[in-house]
Amino acid sequence: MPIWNRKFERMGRSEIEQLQLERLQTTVNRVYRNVPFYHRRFSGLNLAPEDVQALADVTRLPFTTKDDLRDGYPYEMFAVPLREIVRIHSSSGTSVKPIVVGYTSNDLKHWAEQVARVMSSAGVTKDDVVQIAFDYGLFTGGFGMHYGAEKLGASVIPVSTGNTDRQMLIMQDFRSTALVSAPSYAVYMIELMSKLGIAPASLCLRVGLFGGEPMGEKTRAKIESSLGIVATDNYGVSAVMGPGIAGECELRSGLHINEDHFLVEIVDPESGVPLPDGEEGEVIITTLTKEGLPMIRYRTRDLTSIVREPCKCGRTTARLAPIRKRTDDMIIVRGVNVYPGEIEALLYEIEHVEPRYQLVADRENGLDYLTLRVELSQVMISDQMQKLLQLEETIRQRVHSRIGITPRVRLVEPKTLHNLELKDRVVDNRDV
Amino acid sequence: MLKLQSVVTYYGRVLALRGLSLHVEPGEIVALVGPNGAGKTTALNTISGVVGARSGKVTFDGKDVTNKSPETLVRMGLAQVPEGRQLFADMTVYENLILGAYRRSRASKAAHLREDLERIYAMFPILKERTHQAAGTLSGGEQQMLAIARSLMARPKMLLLDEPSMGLAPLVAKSIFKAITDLRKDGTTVLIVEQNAKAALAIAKRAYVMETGRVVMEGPSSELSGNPEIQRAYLGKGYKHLAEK
Repeated sequence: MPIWNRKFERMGRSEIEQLQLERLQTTVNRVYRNVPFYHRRFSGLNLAPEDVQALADVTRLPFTTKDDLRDGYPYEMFAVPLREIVRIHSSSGTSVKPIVVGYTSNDLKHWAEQVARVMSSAGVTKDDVVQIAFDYGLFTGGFGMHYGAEKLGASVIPVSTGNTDRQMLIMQDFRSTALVSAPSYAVYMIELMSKLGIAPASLCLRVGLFGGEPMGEKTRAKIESSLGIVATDNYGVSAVMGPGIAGECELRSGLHINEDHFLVEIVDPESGVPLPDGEEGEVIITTLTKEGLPMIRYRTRDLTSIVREPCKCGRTTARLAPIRKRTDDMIIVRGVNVYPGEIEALLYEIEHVEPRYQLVADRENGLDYLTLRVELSQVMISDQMQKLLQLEETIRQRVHSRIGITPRVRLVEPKTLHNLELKDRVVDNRDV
Repeated sequence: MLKLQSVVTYYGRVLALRGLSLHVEPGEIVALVGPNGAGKTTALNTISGVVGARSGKVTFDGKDVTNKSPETLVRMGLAQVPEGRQLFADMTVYENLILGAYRRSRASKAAHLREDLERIYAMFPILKERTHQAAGTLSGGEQQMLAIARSLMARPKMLLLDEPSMGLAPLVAKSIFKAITDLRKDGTTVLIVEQNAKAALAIAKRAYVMETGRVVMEGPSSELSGNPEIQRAYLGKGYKHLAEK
């Protein structure tokens, strides 16, 4: 299979490290000069940009966390004036401040290039008809994959999410050959096809690129066998750029990192100390070319390991093992990031319930469901069914308006959840 | 071909390079641009061994050449065309060119001197016309051409050019840049330092933008010349827009 950018995807180790050093220093120089947050952070640690003399010196730099980005809402972390920003994406959520990401025109060019590489490595070519079933909007998934597929020269159908009947009609009639979606959405479509009697063999699909949430091996196997396609995993972080950071090639032996644009470290999530290659730890990303929102050592909270041996596909870039775990208890349900802390904060504001709860994620017929079990307060053991139903509805609506997903709400009797251990607060029954 | 890793250089007591890293691949034209005092010339002088590096590493043609003497570097195939040309004013164009071949062995000189002169004259026809004229009587542009031509007589693998358009009329500068682009066709690798960012970005494949001894931007020239910050700072665009804000 062809390699989209032979120069950068097949670079020797010493060449890529020289390029990373140059770009790391340039990025550090720029954020030190242009972003007050980083200037303060560096100064507080008595760090000057020239203290980064080798790639390994990146470990001397401070981490950037999601909270830092929220504190900088909306534009404080940008390294260029707003008039040089040509695109703005943002995370969802209204209870906590969202994370706003700005892109310059060069950032968009680089983004498209990197997604084109990921798509090409998955086997997509200019002859493919690419159906993109990711949300187009503030979420980075739709637009991110879209421009990469266009750069590749493929025929791109921006279907977006929802209206699955139309999605399937388009897949059949437009003869889509590549599907871009969340793995859970693909599974949902598979279930629907069997219900509607659509034979997967009647489709033209041959490859799928899945991202936005973890894809377990069982899910991958189901998608591959049901649709008769090659299912590849790809990785993006919305706060950093979106999709295109890394992706699997057709050999599916790790996600190739676009190392000329990102410096990826794996550290111990507790101590923050760098871990040797092959050991599982938290993914830390430093951007090397981003102009709008450069990021120094962003803590993704994703857990995985890294290998640097060249892949049999011919690419020399370092690879990440599939990302299936997190350092926090966030879960992704239907593409929405659900943080238990947010649910807890919300329950404090609702009368007649305790802020004691359990979140359960299930997959039924290919669709993901979130169940929220909430403990009633002592005073609210009401026999009035009407009142209880009303309370459930209130919680459902509040959760929906805060985080964008409607859970199934189950009220439970007082004192039934108060002994719940922290690790049981979130139960994920899906295959991830 | 050339690699710098975190090179720190003092110019007297002034910290002129604060950890400069860059690379130039074989056959590439790479530009180092930035305002006066950014450290561009110091960078060239450190590479060519004229100024010593306090720390960091310079690799040329796969060998560590940090703080090697200029003579050693010239022998290895690195030629610098200094700012202000530094020709032998009383000597003829021809004599200046022959001196450029000085570092080559006698045998190699005899075999290729004529051939090289012809190549140079083809590249800069004006020098052929002026071959018996004293270098000091040439115009600024012609002197710059002679300075480049003299460096090429050493058959360098790589050429370091310091402000080749300095003090030249725009049209003359243009012909110099044209000549530099032609060099690439011969496979000569070029690192060029220029205050004229627009011209440098037009001929270079990639560029590094320096400020106060640091690189603040780098990338393909096509991306840099479209960058609003570069346009404002170095290409003289956008001032009106800024003033209106």
